[in-house]
Amino acid sequence: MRRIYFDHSATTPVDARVVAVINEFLVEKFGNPSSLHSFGREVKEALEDARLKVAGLLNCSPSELYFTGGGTEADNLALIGYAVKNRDRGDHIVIGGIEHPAVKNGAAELEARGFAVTRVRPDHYGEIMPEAVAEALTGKTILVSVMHVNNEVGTINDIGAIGSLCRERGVTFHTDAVQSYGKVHIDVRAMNVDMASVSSHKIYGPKGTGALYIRDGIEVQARAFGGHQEGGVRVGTENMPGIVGLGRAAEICADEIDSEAQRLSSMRDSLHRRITAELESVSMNGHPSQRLPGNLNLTFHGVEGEALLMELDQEGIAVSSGSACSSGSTTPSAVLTAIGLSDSQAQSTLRITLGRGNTREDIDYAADVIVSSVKRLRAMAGDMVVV
Amino acid sequence: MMTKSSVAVAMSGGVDSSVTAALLKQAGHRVAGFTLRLRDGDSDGSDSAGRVCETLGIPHHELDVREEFRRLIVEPFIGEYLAGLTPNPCVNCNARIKWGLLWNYARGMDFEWFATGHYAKVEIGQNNEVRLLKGLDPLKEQSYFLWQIPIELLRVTMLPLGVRKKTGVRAIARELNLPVAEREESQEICFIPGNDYRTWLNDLYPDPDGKTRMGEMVDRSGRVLGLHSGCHLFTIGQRKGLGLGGGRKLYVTGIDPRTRRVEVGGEDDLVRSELMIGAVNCLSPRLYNAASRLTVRIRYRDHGVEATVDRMGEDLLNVRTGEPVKAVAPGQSAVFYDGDQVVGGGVILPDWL
Repeated sequence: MRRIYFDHSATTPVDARVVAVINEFLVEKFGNPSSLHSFGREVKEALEDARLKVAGLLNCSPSELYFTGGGTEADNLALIGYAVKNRDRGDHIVIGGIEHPAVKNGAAELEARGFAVTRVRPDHYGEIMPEAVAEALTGKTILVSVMHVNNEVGTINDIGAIGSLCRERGVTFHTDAVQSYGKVHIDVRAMNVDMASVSSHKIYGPKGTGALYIRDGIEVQARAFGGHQEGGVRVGTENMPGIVGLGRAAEICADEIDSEAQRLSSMRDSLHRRITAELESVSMNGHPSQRLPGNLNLTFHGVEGEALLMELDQEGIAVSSGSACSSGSTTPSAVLTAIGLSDSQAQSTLRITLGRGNTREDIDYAADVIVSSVKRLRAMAGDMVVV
Repeated sequence: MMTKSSVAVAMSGGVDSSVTAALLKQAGHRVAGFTLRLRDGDSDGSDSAGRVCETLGIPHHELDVREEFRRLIVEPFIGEYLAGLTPNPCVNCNARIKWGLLWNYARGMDFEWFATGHYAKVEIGQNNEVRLLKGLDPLKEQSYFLWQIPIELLRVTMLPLGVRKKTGVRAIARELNLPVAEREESQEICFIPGNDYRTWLNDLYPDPDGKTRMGEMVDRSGRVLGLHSGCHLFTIGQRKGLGLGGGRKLYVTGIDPRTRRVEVGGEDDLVRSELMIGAVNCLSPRLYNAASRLTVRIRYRDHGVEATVDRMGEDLLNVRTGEPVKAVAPGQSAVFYDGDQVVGGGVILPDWL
């Protein structure tokens, strides 16, 4: 059976070019980068080369980039590490209202430790407006964290505007760039970003690797204690296969970012056009134009999202209802309800995220299957009786 | 081609059937609600369904079937228990009362379709084959209770909740401000308060002299271990209420109403891998197709085991299970699945028959 993967915001397949370099560091170049002999030195060189590549795609200095065990760890390190270290400067944190659980629950942990947290409500496109962030700031605010791209509806926030207002107000600004990194341009210098989290497995690299950019001069408290690796901020022997994989994945993204964005947007728009041309009562969530290239978040009114997901799965098409990080819960997506969907609309919503392996043929096939499956489910639900 | 049609919705007054009516109304069908009056003093459901119909602006009809419900459901239920079986009244009620009396009545009023709030799917395939399928929501899935519906009635059945989850159904009820959104789940057997059938049955039909139903508790070798006050108090696999004191764990392994003997044994004695099934309703030729890979569920909350089916007569099956099954209770439904499709069902027969 034909299998189409349309869930690239959950995770991505590892690019063959990335696999090659991972293998090399699993088998031949197995040394510890802290060792002084040649086995260690060749690996240390690769570690710094990967750092250069990952930093390049953020436009930060390699010395400002720290490898972590993934996006969640990077987010936690930024929020909790920074707040704990800088508590004497204030005890108020501002976060976006529809952050990924890594930030949302990181902030909740700070709340449990006595910090005050303000959550800024998004507009109906899922955008966190810079003016709303400005309003939330107080004299005690030490940190703002707003995601670059929302993981469910794909809306791109104006990180540059939020960055400059934080810079003016002397507040440190972190962004969770896990969904945007490698797909949407981000320049931490130009955008006045002080910390940014990225993840490897969303950009065709291996799972379990990420990185945190921490601007020179910003101090965070380590979350684990041990050796001297990563400047003492993230200690423990480096996960070299993961790190060189992330480095190579970032390098490929840097080369292909513009062409791939154009290709994915165009395919996404074709899919959207076909679905809305052939089906009634389908609406798109998120920003109409300011959105992640491969993201299509649709509400199929009157259809249970999970029923549609399973129908599509039987035809080999993988999509998601909500985000992978919140599936399995019985409550509807908090992101969708926060942007104004009712519970039942939220339950009628699917996220389709295209990526590198998808082709025009996939779009045509998927459009056919989605249209016929929705019609079938609506008929079964008594919406229209087929006679 | 799509058309709008007339649909009779069986409404209990609960959330599920109310949302069913609301969804079909929204879809543009001509919808009316039908509520059954099943017992004396039971008017809550009807009042609630009436309010929902009023909110939705659809007609509401009440059907008094107290006499028929007693005769077709409650009395056979008692009879089966007294005969040492474990009855399944909901299965019978669906086939005889809802798809029977209620649908006959509605059909007489020129309704073309019949809908209920069951969590199961009915699909008409491209070859015009009607298929009964498991519902989407694994926690609410109710196809087990529908095996007795004749296939020609499934053809005119709509089950809009089969492609929905309970959480979504509640959300719809809240958003439509249906006056039932927060109603609790209904209890297992609607006519038995607190689900305690033993007390209910003893109160309703007391043993005239306290001795008529009395019998012996025996072990697997026939040794008498004690006395009991009625076969109807036991179900195969039952461990509590045996009145045999401590020692090794004992379970009811057999009930013979002819001798009024209740046999007990260890956990190992509960296991079997061959069953006889009667009163079979075939919903797909795949039930009898040797090439089908079937599973059988012998109780509602059962994942099912692989089964090989041999047809012994018009509506009689011999079933061998791929792995041994525990606590098979005669009187319960055995429902056969091919993947998600219900291909038939029947009643588990007792050994003494």
